[in-house]
Amino acid sequence: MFQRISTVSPSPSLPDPLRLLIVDDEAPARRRLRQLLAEDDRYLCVGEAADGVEALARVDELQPDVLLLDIRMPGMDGLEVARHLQQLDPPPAVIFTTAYDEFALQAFDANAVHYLVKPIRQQRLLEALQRVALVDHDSGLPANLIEEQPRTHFSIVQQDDRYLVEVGRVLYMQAEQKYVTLHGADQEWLIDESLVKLEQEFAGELIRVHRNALAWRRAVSGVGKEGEGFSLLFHQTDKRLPISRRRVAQVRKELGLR
Amino acid sequence: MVDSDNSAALDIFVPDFCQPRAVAVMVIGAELLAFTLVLANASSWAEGLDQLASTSLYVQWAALLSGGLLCLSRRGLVRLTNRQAAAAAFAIPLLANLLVTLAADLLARQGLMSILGSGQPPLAAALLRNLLITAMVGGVVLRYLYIRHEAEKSLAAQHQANLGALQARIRPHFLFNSLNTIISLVREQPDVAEEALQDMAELFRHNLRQSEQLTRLGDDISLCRQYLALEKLRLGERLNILWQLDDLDPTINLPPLVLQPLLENAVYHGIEPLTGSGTITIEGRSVEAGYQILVSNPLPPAGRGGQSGGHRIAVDNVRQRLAAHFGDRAALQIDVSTDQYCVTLTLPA
Repeated sequence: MFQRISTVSPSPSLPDPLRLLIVDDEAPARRRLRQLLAEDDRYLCVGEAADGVEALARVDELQPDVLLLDIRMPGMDGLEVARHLQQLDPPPAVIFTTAYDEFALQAFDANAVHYLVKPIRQQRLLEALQRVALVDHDSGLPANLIEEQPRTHFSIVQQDDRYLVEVGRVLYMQAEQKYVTLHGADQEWLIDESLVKLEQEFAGELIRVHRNALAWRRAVSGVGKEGEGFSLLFHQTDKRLPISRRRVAQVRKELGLR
Repeated sequence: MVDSDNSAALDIFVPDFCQPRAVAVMVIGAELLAFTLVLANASSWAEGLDQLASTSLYVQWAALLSGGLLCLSRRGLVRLTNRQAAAAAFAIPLLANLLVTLAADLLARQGLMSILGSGQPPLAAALLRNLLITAMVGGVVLRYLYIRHEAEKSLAAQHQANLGALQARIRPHFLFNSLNTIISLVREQPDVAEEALQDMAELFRHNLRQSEQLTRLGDDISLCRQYLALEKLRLGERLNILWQLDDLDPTINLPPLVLQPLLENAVYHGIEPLTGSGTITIEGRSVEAGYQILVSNPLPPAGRGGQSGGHRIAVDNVRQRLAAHFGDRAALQIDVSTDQYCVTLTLPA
C-alpha cells in the first residue's frame, strides 16, 4: 500500500482508515455490513457492488484495501471475482461472506481462507479485518480453491486498463508463442495464459482442432472443405479455423458428424 | 409391480435358495410337514416311526431338489415379473415332486426300498396325492412369502417418505439469509423486522410439524405468501410474483407444504442466479379431473447457477407425498424450456 501513504494526514497518530468494498447481491446484507462498520473510524466503506462484474469495476475505480465478498452471487460469483483480483498488483485482501454453503466452507477451513458466516457478528468482522490489516496484502487464496470451476469472464489487460470479456463471446482460441489469442465473432483479445491450463479449465466444452487451437463446441456450426483440407465453421461469423489434417476424423466424430 | 429395472428386479419375493439360511429353514419346514403327515395317518407309534422315516426321506428329497432347482433358476427368476416368478416358484416344487415320486416308484419296483407309503400304492395314485399336497403346501407358503415381502416393502416406502419429508424442509440457506435480512432491519425498521419474524415463526412451525394430515389449499397459500414476503424483503425488486389463483376453491384439501418447496426452488434456482430481476408465476386452473397449479420461474442462461441437484430433491419429495395421498389421481409434471422452468401439479378435486 506504499503508493497510498498519506502526506496530508493531519494527525500522525491516526493511520488512514482501511478502505473497504462491500460486495453482496442482497441489499439487506450490504446494509448490515455498513451498520456494523459505521461507528468504527479505523474502517471506511468506500463503496458497494451487487454482483461480481460490478465488483471488479468498483475495485479499479475505488482501489479498496479489502473486499467483503459474498460467495453466491448471480453472474460472476465471489470465487471468480477473487480469481480476477489476483491479477492486480497488489491485490486487495478478500474476506468471503456466506450464509450457508457447506462445501465452500469445508474447502475454506482446509485452506485457512478468511471467511465469515452470515449473520455476521460485529466482533468476528472486526477480528477478521484486523487480521487482514496485519498481513501484507496477499489475498492468500490457494489457486486450487478458486480455479475449481470454469470462470464466466476473461480479464483482458491492456496497458493499465483492464476489462472483462464474457466467456460466451469467445468462439475459439489459438496459442501464439507466449500468449493465447481469444477469437470472438468480430474481435480478438490477448491473454497471458497457457492453452493447456485453459483446456483443463473448460474441459468438456472444447474441441481440440489443432496442436495450438481449441474451439468452443457451442460456437461451432459445422465443418467445411477448404482447398486440400478442412476447417471449422462458426455461428454468426465468417471466420474459419483450419483443422489439422490428423484431427479431422476426431473432430468430426466429436461433433457428431459422419 | 411390473418393474424392469435392475434394482427393482433384485427385490423379488421368492427367497434365495442359494443361501444356507433359506435351505436350513426349508429342511426344517419339510421335516415338520413330514411329522404332520405321519401324525395324521399312523395308527400306532411303532408304525408311525417307520412311516416317519420313509416320509421324511421322500419329503427331504423333494424339498432339497426344489431348493436346488430354485437356486439354479434364480438368475432367470429375478428377471420375471412378480406374477411370473410366483408361477415359476409354484411349478418348480411340482416338478421336483414329480421326479422324486417317479424315482421312488422305480426304487420300489426294484424292491430296494418302499418310501411311497405302505403297500406299494399304484403310481398314478401316489403321483396325484403327492402333487396335490405339494400344490397346497406350496401355494400357502408362496402366499405367506408374498404378503411378508409386500409388508416389508411398504414399511420401507413409508420410512423413505418420512425421511424425504424431513429432507424437504426449508433450506438452511434460506434460514440464515433471512435471519441476516431481519437483523439488518432491526434498528432502522423494527416494525418490518417484527412482521418478518412472525412470518418466519409461522413458516417454521409448519415445517417442523411431522403430521402429513391434509390441509386446506387456502391455508397452504397463505403460508406461501408469508414465505414469499420474506424472500421479497431479501431480494427486493429482483423478485416479482404473479398470483393467478382465482379459479381455485380455497377449501380443497392437499398434503401440507406441497407448494412452498416448489416456490423455494423457484426462488433458489430461478431468481437468485439471475443478474436482473425475474417473475415467479403461480397459476391455478380447474380441469376435468380436479385442478392444476402451475409454478413457473425463469432459468438463468445455461451453464450458470448450476445447482441442479437440489431442484430434484424437493420435487421428488412432493411427488412422493402426492402419490402417498392420492395415488394415480395426482401428478407432478415438469416442463423445461431454455429459459423457463414450470412445475404443474394436478390434484383431484
